[in-house]
Amino acid sequence: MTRASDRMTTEPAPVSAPVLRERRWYPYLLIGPSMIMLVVVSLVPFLYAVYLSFHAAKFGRVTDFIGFDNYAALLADPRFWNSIGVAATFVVIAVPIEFMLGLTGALVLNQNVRGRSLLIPLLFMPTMMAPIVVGLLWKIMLAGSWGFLSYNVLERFDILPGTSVFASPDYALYALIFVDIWQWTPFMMLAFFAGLQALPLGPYRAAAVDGANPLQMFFHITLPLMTPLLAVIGLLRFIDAFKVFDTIYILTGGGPGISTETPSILANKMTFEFWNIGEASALAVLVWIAFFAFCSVFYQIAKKKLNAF
Amino acid sequence: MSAILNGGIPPGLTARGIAKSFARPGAKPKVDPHKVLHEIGIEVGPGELVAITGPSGAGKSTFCRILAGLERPDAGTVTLAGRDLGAVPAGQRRVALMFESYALYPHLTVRGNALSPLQAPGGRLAPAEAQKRVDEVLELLEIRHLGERLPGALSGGQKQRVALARTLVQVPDLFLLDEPISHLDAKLRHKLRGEIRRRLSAQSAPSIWATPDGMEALSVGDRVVVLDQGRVEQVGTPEEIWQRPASARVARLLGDPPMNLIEGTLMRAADTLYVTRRDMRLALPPALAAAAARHGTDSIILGVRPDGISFAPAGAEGAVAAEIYSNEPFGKHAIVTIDLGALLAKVKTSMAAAAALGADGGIGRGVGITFPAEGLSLFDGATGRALAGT
Repeated sequence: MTRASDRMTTEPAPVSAPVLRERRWYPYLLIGPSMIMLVVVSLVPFLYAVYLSFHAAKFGRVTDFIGFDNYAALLADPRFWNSIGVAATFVVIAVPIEFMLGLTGALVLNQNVRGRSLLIPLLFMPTMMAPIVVGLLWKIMLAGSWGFLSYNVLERFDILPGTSVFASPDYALYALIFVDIWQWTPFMMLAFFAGLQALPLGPYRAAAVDGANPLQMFFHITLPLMTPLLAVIGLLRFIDAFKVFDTIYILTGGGPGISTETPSILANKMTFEFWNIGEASALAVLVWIAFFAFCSVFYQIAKKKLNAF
Repeated sequence: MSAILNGGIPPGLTARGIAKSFARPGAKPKVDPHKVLHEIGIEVGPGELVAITGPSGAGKSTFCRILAGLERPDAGTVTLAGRDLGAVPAGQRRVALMFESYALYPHLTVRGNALSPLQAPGGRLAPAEAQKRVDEVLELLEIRHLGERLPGALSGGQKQRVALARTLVQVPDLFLLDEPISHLDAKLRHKLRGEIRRRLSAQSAPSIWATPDGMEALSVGDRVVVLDQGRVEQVGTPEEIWQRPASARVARLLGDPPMNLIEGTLMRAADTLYVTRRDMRLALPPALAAAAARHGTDSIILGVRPDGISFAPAGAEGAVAAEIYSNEPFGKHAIVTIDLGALLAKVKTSMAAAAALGADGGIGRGVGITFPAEGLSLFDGATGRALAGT
């Protein structure tokens, strides 16, 4: 009996409600600094852009509130629709090719190829390069007549003689797509390779005992298990490719004419060449809304159908 | 008859001279490899269930993987159902392997996992028939209600039963179960041990059941193979292995708790042969004494089962002095651990006898123990082999 009562008194008193309530601020204290940074760095400029988009703002002077006029002007502008078309073409061609090449490369890399440890750092090179460097590199490679690739390939086989591919309204966009594929395929490959390396071996052994062939293993094990990763990487690359700015800025600046002008390039021109900050802000907000909607839908589908996220 | 028709290859499973080594981590292959299996031979007839037991690291899983074709042996041959499996890849061996690590498909439901071998090229079955068989097996393993869950949402024991279901739905040429019930709770283990055994025995295919639990091996196997450090220590019926363990290694695996092994020296005084260890002196019964005398070695291991030892008052005539180390009541019986001087031995006794040892289990008290005249085993102190005629 005495033992039991001893134990009763030495047990810690139950935490009372006021103590809990006092500590409610504690989590907020912990996330506070990062939230403040997020608000200052991200939310404030964004809200300012929304504010600008509803105002007449030209040549650095913000004047009247004009409601949706900026949006209306933008939607009526063929140049805006051209930029959407350019970006869509860019994404629809570049990303699937990067995806397929990346996945194929990752599968090959996963077969214990010789010299893999040497190959992987090399593969990272294009992705590690600053986009400005990538732009300059390809500007030199594909420069009219004297560029390494232009001289040795395009001129020699009489494709586009006497001119740079970047000077042709018909081909400039495809040259940019080529550069994007060069820049991002290795990243996709390595991301997928990391995913393949993390797959459990057990299911493959079980399938081997059941007599599955390599193709069946790929479609029934590898692909379903990789789907979440494929979806996330694919989505990231999709968004990133749509927003591409730096390599295009260096290589063509959106030209010739408006043949390679993506929304990012157009917004930049609207701001720093036409000084129509209100309309540029409206463009930024529209693109943001489009992506927000797209990502929400994608997220819902991915969650339900693909077991991703 | 069929042996003749098949060009002399007997039906059932025959493995001969299976050897396997692995390179040590960090070492070059070929240099001082780690030998996992030393020329293992085993025969399992059609419909026979052979249990393979041995401590972890004995080579049970490696042996199963070699039979399934997931691992290539360094030497040896395997024939199954009249076929030489030497060049046959895993997928065409018609072997149902249950993996110790489950190896479930994480993206398929419980039902999907159980169905998978029936949709695979080797064992394809009409969908309705496949569903029926899966239902029946899931029911047997008490996981039918989990049918639509993904493996990630299951406990370890449930996952093991899914792996088991995936194996049991098949009608293969060979069943290989690698620790099939080791992660189930005791109640389910008791129930399923019998059910699975019954199911396997009803099939014409030979079955192999690998388990580190010696008692489980004795209870499920028509015959039992004891492996230790990659060598076959003993092959026999459960009775043979229980009654006459071929070596101290086998004895150490069997029983709950296992046989006590007391290393000692033989000493002759007058006409009696004694086993001595420190100040313990135990007269051997005539039959054992004769066997020990024939064997002609002084270093000896005396094996005595925990339920053979009885307690006597400390200092009683003919009793060996010991000290009580721990006392665990289990309700039906009690396990008392005694210290024989730098050697702990287990005694399985009645609850009453254990309680009589004193308050608080009598821990630390001196006590006398007596050994039975029957049921003692003798092993060679150097090799661990059982002495002939014991």
